[in-house]
Amino acid sequence: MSEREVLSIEEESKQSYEKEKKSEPQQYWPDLQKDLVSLILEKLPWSERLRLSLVCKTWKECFHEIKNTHEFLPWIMCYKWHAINYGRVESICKVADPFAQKCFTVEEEEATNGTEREIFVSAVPCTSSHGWVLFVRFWLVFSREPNVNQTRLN
Amino acid sequence: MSTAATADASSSGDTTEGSVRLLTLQSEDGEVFEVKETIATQSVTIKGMVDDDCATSTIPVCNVTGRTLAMVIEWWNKHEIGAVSNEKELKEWESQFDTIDDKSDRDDVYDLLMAANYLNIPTLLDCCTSAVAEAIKGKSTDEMREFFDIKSDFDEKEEDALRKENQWAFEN
Repeated sequence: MSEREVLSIEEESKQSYEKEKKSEPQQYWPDLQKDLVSLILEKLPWSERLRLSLVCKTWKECFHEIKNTHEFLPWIMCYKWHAINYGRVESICKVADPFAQKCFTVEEEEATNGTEREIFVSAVPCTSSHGWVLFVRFWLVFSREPNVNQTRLN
Repeated sequence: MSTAATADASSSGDTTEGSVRLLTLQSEDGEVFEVKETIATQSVTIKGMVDDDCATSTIPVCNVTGRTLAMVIEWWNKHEIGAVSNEKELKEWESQFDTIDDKSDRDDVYDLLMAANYLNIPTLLDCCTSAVAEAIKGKSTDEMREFFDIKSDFDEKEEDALRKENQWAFEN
């Protein structure tokens, strides 16, 4: 092999090395592996995950794949009512966030209507944001879009 | 692979005798580190190599730079059983990872995250993912994109529809 050839090979390998080096910074957050994205998502409450899921398509896929972690368990809800006289019902609806250890009462007038009350009976409070609570109806979870109801807390 | 000349020549002479065995780790950019086996086995990957008796020569840590590997080793040292007297001190030391708003911190956390994943270090992986989660909490989708330098690959219609679906979460 002539000296010139050797030199050109060296030059080539140097160039490809530099090229490799240059392409390095591209390996960054946008290429974050899905399992790592999921690990980050698991550390966030549902409402934050939802915003994160809109960052890009890969992250949206992760959003649908991960399960709730113990910090973000569904809220606890207690709901009971009794008839005080014909046609009038008194009810108490409380929801509690087990992680933040906070308890909220749902306003009476919002829950007195018969159909709304039924909605609460089979609903599970999931998360809250900006004073709103997101409820999911258990028996509708298997549909494509779970039926979602919001109630403002006092 | 031949055993590389190590930086810590004094302690590298005999790596198997005595109470603590030393492992030699070589970073992607050629930096060599001598680490106690008891510390390095916090990495599940390295522990597997040690258990399989594959850690007798230099261990190449291909995807991790020397700078990052030094940070990883610092992490191991702090998390060695008995190294830090109390949990509070450890938490305080870990809190340096909590603020990653500026770009260089973000780069460090990214490098550490990659290293923690590659070397399979559960405690470090947990700390890094928590730091990222903490940093993006309360940010809007656009702010998150800016934070991660990610361009949206949704078309406008798609994104509008998704936002509408759960409008309450996107209102500030």
